[in-house]
Amino acid sequence: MRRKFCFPFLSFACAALVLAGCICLFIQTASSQVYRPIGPPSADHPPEKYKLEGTVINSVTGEPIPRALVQLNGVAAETVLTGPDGRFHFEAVPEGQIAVTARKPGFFEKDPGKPRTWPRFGITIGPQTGPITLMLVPESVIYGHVEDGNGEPIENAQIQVIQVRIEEGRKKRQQVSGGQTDEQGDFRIADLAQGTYYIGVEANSLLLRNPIEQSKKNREGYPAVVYYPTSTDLSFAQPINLTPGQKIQLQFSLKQEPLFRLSGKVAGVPSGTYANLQFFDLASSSLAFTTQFDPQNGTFKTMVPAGTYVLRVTAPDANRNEMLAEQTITVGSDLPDLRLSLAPSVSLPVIVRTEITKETHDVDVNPHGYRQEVNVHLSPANPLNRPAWANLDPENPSSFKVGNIVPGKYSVAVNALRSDRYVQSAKCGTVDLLREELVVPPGVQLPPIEVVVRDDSAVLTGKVLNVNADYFTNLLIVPQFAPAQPSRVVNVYGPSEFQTSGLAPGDYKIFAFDSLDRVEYTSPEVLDHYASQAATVTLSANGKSNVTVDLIRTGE
Amino acid sequence: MARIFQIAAINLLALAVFAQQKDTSAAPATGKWKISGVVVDATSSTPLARAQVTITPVTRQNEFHTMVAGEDGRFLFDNLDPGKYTLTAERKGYLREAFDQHGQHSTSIVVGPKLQSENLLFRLHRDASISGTVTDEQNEAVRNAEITLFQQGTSNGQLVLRARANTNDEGVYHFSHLSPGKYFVAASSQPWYAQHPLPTQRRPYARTGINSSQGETNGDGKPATSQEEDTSPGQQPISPLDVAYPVTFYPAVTEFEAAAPIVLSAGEKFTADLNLRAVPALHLRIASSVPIQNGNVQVEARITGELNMPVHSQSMSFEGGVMEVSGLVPGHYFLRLNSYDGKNWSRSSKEVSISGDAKVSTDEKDGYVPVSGVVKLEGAGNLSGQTNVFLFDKASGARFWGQVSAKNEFEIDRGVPPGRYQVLVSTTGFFFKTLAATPGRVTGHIVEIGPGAAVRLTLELGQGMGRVDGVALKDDMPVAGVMVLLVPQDSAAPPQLFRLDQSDSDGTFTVASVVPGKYTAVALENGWNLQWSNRKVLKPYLAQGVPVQIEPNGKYDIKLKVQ
Repeated sequence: MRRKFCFPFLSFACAALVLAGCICLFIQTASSQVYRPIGPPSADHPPEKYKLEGTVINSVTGEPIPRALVQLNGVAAETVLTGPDGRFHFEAVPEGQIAVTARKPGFFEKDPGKPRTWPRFGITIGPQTGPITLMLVPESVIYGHVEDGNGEPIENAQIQVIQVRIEEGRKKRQQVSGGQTDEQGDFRIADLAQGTYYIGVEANSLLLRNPIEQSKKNREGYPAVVYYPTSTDLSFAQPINLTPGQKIQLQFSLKQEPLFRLSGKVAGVPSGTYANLQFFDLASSSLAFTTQFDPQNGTFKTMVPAGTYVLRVTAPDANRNEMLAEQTITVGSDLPDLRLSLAPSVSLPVIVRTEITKETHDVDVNPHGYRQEVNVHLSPANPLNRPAWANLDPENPSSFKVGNIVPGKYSVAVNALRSDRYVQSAKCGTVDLLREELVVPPGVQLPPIEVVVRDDSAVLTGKVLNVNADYFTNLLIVPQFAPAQPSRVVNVYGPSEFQTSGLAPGDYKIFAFDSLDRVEYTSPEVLDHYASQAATVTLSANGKSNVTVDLIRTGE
Repeated sequence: MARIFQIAAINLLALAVFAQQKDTSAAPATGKWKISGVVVDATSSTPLARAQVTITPVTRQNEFHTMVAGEDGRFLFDNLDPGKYTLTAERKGYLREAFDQHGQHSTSIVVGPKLQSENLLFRLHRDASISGTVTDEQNEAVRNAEITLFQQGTSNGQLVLRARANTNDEGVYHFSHLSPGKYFVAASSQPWYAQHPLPTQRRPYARTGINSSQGETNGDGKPATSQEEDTSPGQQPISPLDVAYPVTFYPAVTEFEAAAPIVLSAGEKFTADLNLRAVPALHLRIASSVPIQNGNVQVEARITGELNMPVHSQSMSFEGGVMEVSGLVPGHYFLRLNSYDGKNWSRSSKEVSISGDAKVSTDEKDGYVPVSGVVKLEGAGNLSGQTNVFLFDKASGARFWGQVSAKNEFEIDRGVPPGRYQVLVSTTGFFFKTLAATPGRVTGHIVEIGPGAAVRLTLELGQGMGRVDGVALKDDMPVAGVMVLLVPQDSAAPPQLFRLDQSDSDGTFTVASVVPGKYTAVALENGWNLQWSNRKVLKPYLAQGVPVQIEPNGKYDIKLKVQ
């Protein structure tokens, strides 16, 4: 038994942003190559060994990179640093396929945004192996200065580096990096990959700590967040497009504005319990307004600049289920008497009926004789709410329910667990969950979710045209009869056949994307844009259909 | 009196919200007294424009008032009620300071009949900074190096960790808002390119052996043991990338003793660049009577007798039941090991000095004596907050400690080497009365711990600390800003029993939380730079001091002649 924990590499893998980047790439090997797994040679054929040499270059300038670390992986694990001319060589590398990587602080992996390939960095070592060139992409840097309206530097302002990314077909804003200003008001954020960023400055909390501001009649503060150059709303912010190796300087001038006093009361907080009060902007970003809450009587107070905010209060009830109150507040004056009332979370039982048309072997029966047929997953429309799942109660195996749902709007995904079954219908009262979202109102008990599962499912096979050999294609299978259900995503390697089963009978559109990183596919309008490149198919009960799909290239 | 309370930002924020409410509702101040003065630069004595000056009644901390001084540095608070006020000022580029501040102490301003509270000279010191660039052996910037700033206290010479920072992509670090004083800067990092191959991937090279903390060389620590040779294929050369950085102090030394103190004056911007040099990394193999399959180890390097620094640069591997820690440099280390033998987790600790590749066994005892104990409280009440028991070896400076549990029990983490220890307890509201040890000889609060058997300590804590009020006089006139010191008459008493205050503008002082016992009280006009914890330094002043015997809960009023 042998294990190795190597911290440098762990941290490297976990935080590509923190450490420098990596990689490589090869020029001379043709795309027709077949990948052979790296393994020990057989006993009767000791491997021939060959010299491997090459150069590491900067992908932007083409200049050689001295002191880059070049690493051979697999059985011939070995590491060297490049010389002053960016050159490296390994004396004796066993023949066959081998992966080569390069890295150096300040550089990134080649083309991080491109579709994934496998093998990624393979080259073939043999008598014909010539010199190779490995490319590293230089990092980008954002630096700058934050000052107040009088040109005085602002110290300790928090800098947010935000990207809007698409995950699981949805746009999400994410703070990918950050920093803070020093006493000169200067900041510097490195380790940024090429891409589009928004830069926000948060200095609101600073003035409150400053006693001078407290005794002034006219209290002033900075806006919650100022996005470059001067917007308080991310949607009006100027995107910063960073190219590899670019260093961009940004200047912020924050204007002070009046602060208003908010105070009020939250009803329904168990006495002595601390409620969590938080402000968000309309894009659901948390804002650092410090709020005082008195757990004895449920009162709160704070000071905020003018604007429209979502005030969200959460507190645990006696069973540790979350209670929620949420209010959108437009502030233009002092608001001394806000009233919020916590609503308890609700639970929804799930009743599953199975319609069996063929002989079956129950494989997944729990000790109580109950088999979980479906997964039920509630995704909130409001990103501030938690998602919820249906669980089996271990005490009462026939009770299958989604507990601790905070009131709000949800899309309810229902999936059959067995690969040959599908969800024919899912309803909550009169709401057809295949087609509609579910609104969970506060304080009202909804009827149970009723699901019908059948086993006469269909199989889809097919092929993607015009793909690159070593690339994965993301196949999106969109049921036309169930717009409220998530589409199935199937990854297909190269030009190979795909097969996927357990599909409900009905009409589908099939899209083959080179990458889903740029496709907001949960939006019907976005998918419509690609509709002409999609294949359509109608699956029948117990049927098997075949399609060919054209590759949709989403590259920028 | 005026102790400066460190108020966390969040508390201040809370105060802020309430204070604001007060602002609008408060009745106009009715008093007829004033505090006024001018804010000046402490070095040049030139007036400073637009400093923010705040007064806070000593007994009502959240009724503070702030104003901005004029272009000529003048400030004025009027309509004040009689009483004591703490005065603080801040301005960009200067330290936030209380009036005549010395460490935790300052002079409060007392207003009332016949008291002088106007035309004060409020001296502010420019803040200083230390910044620098960290480079490696090829003069390339070192990113994410951990930089530690230590400050050496003037009164006792102790090193205190002041701040930590990390270098940015250009290898630059920065410490700002520093007060004048004596500092040390240390950098720890690992070469970004370091590779620590597994034992089977490297050829053994010259090992110079191991010394345990007691200076014995154990059998497994012999150079290049045969066992290690057997497991190594001996084919590959030593990797030039199997390297590590020693902790490096400014200017560019790896021994703390050789480090240059950075003595900052007010406003100084000091540049302390650091160059890191990689040295061949050492490999420490840790074995046990049961094979180690998995685990983790915390490594601390000894910097001075009283100062350890965590080492993060090592990596670990497990092979043949032996754990290997790579990436160390020669030095003295404390290891805290959590190991897993496939069934159970177990903890052990080890102190080692290594100068080459080495092997230790957790089965061999390092001679540490387990120490545990109980804290007994006199009278009613419970310990509040965190209470720690310390064992302090004056000779080596080594300090060992354990936290007192809810059941008033404690255990010294990895035990202590045999020796003589001063026992200390950090607690609030109680004071340390008596110490007992089984086995072990006790003199006052000093315990002698012999080799072998585990030692159990019993600490008895008393309640009812005394308080001394008074006034510092020179030629029968009260003197502001002098240092008032209560010195225990027992010459073996630890510095923790000393009590300190600064006289206020009317010459008065208050020394609270005095542990009952015999003291000598002195008032020293230029005492703030005195190394008062050293009795030799104090001796000439004690003769003219005032003896005070503090009984439990006693309150005393004394007059002190300023020396």
